[in-house]
Amino acid sequence: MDSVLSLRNLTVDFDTPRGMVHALRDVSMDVPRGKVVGIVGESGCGKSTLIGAAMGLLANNAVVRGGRALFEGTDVLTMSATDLRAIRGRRIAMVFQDPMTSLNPVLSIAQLMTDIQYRDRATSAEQKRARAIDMLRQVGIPDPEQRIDHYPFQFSGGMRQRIAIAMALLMNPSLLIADEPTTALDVTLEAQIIALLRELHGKFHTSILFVSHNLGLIAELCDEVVVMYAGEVVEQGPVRALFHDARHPYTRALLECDPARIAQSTRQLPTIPGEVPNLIHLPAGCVFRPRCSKAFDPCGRNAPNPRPVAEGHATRCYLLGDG
Amino acid sequence: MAELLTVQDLVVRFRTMGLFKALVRGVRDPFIDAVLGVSFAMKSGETFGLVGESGSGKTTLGRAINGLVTAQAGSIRFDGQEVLDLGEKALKPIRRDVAMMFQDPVASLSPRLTVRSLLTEPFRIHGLHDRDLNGEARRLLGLVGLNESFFGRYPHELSGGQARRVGVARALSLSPKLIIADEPTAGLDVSVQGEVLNLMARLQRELGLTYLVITHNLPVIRHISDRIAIMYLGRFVETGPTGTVFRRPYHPYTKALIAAVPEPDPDRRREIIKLTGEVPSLAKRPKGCEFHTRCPFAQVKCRTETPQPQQMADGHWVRCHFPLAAPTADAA
Repeated sequence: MDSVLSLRNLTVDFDTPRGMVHALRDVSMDVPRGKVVGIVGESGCGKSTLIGAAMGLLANNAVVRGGRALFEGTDVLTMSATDLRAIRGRRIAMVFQDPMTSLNPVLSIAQLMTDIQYRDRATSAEQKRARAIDMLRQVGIPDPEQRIDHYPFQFSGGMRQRIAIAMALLMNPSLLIADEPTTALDVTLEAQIIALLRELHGKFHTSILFVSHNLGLIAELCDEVVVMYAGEVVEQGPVRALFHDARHPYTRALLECDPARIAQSTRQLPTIPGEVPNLIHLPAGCVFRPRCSKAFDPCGRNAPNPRPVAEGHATRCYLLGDG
Repeated sequence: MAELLTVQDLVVRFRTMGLFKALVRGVRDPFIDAVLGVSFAMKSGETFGLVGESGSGKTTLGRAINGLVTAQAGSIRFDGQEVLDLGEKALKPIRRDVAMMFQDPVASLSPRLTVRSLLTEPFRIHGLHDRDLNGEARRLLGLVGLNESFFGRYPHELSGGQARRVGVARALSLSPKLIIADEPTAGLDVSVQGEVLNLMARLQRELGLTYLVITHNLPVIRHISDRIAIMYLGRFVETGPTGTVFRRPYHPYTKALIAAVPEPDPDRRREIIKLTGEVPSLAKRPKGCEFHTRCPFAQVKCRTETPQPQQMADGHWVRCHFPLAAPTADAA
C-alpha cells in the first residue's frame, strides 16, 4: 500500500542523567495516503516522541537505536538539516496543541502566512497574500481580507486554531500532523474544529496523523487507530475493529474507563490499577503485564511480538483469540 | 435535610478599565458581569455540578462562595450564616468549613513546599498549633491512599494523579463540610481520572462531604453529580437533577452542549454541528436572552426580552422563552 509515513521497527532512547529512557521500542506503523490515522495513549506513552521522529525533530539527547522513519520513501532520520527544512512546512505540516502559544504574537497573520511561503520564489507577494486569504476563508475565518492584518491576540482560541490549520494546509502538504489540536478548546469549539478537519480532509485528501487521548474524537475522525502504551504499539487496526473488537487488554481497559462509554450513571468508575512502568527500568516480558488482569505464564518471560488478528489489525498479546 | 448553602441573586462584577480611562473613552459602565443573578441551594451530602464553557463564570461563582472574589450583590448563606459581607477576619472560620480544590493539580501546590508542609500548612494558617502535625499529615495521606513515604517529596516529584490526591488531602485537612472542586480531573489520563473520582465518592460517603464540582467535562459530571446547573455568560440557563437534564434538556444550549460531546463509537459519527460561533465577550453581553446570537431557534422576543427562570418539572428550571418540546433521542 502507498504510505505517506511509514515507521519501521523504530527504537528511540533518551540519554538522561538518570539513565537511558526507552521512549520508543520497535514501533511500526503506517499512514496510508489520503487516510486519517489516530494515535491514542496516555501521558508518557511515546506519542510526542513518535511525532518528533516523523518530523525529524527529536531532542539532542535522543539516540535512535534502530529502525527507520520513512516519509514518502525517504528516511527522515538520516536526512540532512537542509533537506529536512525543505519538507517541513511544505510536505509535512503540524498543528499544535495550544493555539495561544503556537502563533508568534508579534507578527500579523498576513506576515505569518506569507513568511511560510518564502521558498516559493516564483510567487509575488500579492499572490501569496491572496492565497493566504483564500485559505483563511476555507477554514471559516469571517471577513478574511480585513482579518488577515490582525495579530494573534485579536482572535479567540477557536479562531486561532483555525488559523493554525490554515497555515498548515497552505502549502498543500501530503501529511498533516495534528497533536491534540482541540485539548485547549471548549467542547462546542472542539466539535467545530473536528468538523472542519473532516471537511478539509474531504476537500484536499491530505493524510492526517491525529494524536489524541480522547477516544470520542478518534472514533469520530479516524480511519485507522494506533494504540500506544509505554513506548510500544500494543494494538493497531481499522477504527471499527478497534472500538468493537479490541483484543489487547490495555485497549479494552482504556475503552472501559471512558466515562462517555458508560451508559448507566455510576459513582464507581472503572480504572486501570497500577501505574505506567518506569521507562528507564522496564519490566521483563510484556510491558503491560504488571497491570494486566489477564496476565499468565508466558507474559513474564518474553515481550510478545505483534500478531495479526485480521486484515490490517494486529496486537502485541499472547492472549490472541481468547475472547 | 437542611440547606447547607443558599445563594440568592448573586452578582459578581469585574472592573475592565480604570476610572480615568473610562471617562476619557466615554464608557459609562466599565464593568463586566461575570456572574449575573445566580440563585441555587445545596443540601448537605449532595454533589452539585456547575457546567459551562470557558468564560461562563463557573470558576468565579465557586470563588465567590469561598470569598476569594467579592460579590457585589445578592446573598450567600452558608450553614445559616450570611457570609457575603464578612471581612477577611470573620471569614476565616467559614473557610475552615469551605475548602477549595484548585484547577491545576501540580501548579496549585507550592513548588517549594514538601508534601508534609503542604498538608500541615492549613493547620498553621488557622492557628491549630496544638495538633500533632505529623500525625495529621499521616492521617490525611492515608485518607487519599498515599503513605508517609511521600512526606519529603516536592510537587514536581509527583505524578498528576498523586498531586491531585495531595490536593484532595489538603482540602480535607480542616474537616470541611463543603468542598469546591474546580475541574478535579482536568489534565489527568482517563484511568487516573476514574481513581480520583472514586476516591472523592468514597470520601463523600465516609465523611458526609458536600461537593460543588466545577467542570466542562459532561461525561464525568453525568456520573458523579446529583444535580447540575448549566452556565452561560454568568447565568444559570438550566438547572435540575442530572439524569433528567441529560435525558430531557429544555434549553437549546444544554442540548447543543450535550450533542457536542463526541460519541466514542465510529458507527455513530455526527454529520452536523448544531452550534456555530463562539461565546460572546462579557463586555458585549447580548441584549435579551444572552444565547440568542448562537441559538438556532431564536425569535424576535429573544433579542429584546431577558427570559426568566421557569419550572418545567420538579426541580428542573430553565431560562428560555421557547423551551424545547421534543425529547432528545440520543441523550444520556
